[in-house]
Amino acid sequence: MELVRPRTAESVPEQVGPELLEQVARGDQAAFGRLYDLMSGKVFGLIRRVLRDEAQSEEVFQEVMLEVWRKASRFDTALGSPSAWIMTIAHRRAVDRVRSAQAAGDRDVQAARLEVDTPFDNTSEQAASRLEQRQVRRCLSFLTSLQRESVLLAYYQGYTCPEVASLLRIPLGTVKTRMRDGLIRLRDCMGVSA
Amino acid sequence: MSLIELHQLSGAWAMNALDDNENKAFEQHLRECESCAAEAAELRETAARLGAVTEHAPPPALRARVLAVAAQTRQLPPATPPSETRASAVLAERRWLKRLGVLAAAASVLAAVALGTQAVRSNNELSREVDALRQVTAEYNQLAALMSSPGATTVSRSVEHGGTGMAVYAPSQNKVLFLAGGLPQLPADRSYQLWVVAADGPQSAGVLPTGGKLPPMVMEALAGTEKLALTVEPRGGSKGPTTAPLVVLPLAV
Repeated sequence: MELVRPRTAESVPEQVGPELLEQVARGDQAAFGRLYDLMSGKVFGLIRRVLRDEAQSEEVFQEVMLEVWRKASRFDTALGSPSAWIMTIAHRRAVDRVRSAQAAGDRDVQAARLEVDTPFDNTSEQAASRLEQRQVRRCLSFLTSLQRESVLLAYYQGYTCPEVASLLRIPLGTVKTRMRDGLIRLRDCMGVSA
Repeated sequence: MSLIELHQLSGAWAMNALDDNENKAFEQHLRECESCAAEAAELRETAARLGAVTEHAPPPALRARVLAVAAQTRQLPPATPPSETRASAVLAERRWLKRLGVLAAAASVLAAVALGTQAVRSNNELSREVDALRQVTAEYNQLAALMSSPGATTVSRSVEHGGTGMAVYAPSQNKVLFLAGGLPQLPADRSYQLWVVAADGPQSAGVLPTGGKLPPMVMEALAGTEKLALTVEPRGGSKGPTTAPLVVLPLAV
């Protein structure tokens, strides 16, 4: 079957709208193809960022896209935008994989901490939306260092609260409040509304 | 987990940094607290923005593979409102028990205030807790109204042989609320029985249901009610207390 291709990369980035997800929920494979084209770079980028391992990232990426297909009917606009829903599935699957790998004892905690300061400097990652990236970077700079480190370790490294607490040598309760304060500050800076 | 602690989990939840138990507790809380759900959704949206800045195209071959597998994969039907099955009734009961915990936590705040230990919590925290209490108890207006009624007092005492008993006395509504937790299980032929004690003697307020946690009991504060007492009685209860009380909760007047 000939799938409908999205607009070319030069055009304004298109967002996944709730209608597209509704079409997917009704089993529309062409719509799923469009969703794939809109989201695959972001989904794969995030998974790769969290997992680091190319082969594992590809596996998890396929799982995520299939979960989106299977669960499209369960998407609820009350829970946020379609793209946030998809990114949440991607993040969840990626950190689950990290944690099961961690059970095998192969995580390098020190290396993780070093990378926190330069979350976006990896040149192999294409920033399709430089503007978006600049905004995130600018907003991150308004966080206190504890807020920033807590957020980055949790989100990009997939660390749990106790892991972040032990890494930053701060009490568990403090980690939780820093994560919340930090995200609230980012939310306000980015002008996010759900 | 206290309400304050639950409220603080939104950020960690949005970033999948909670363990399974906390995650469940927080998601349960979201169903009961509208403002928390709104905050959580926004923070999740914010986290997704963090995720969206590291774009990297997957190998092109994956596209055809994913679409082909999808074409052969059954999709889940939409979630429909659950019918009142046994399972959902059990779930509702568990929700109710959880709320009890929340109520107990809120009540302990009231107790702390009553005991003059307010200083350990800032006004800010306290008002947040009260706000949360209002939301959580939306469907339990009666209990909330009791606990927040003017002049309401709380008393909590340990029960002999284990557990805690707590009473909220709401003079403006002429009602008393009784809550107990952690009571040891009694032999099958015994029951806990609650008594409202007035100057002219004790009157039964009922037998506590057996097994697991106990629902709160609300009763009229009869004229001259002085205290609540809990005793162990033969199964089904007695006309008057036949054993020494395990706990006595004086109702401040």
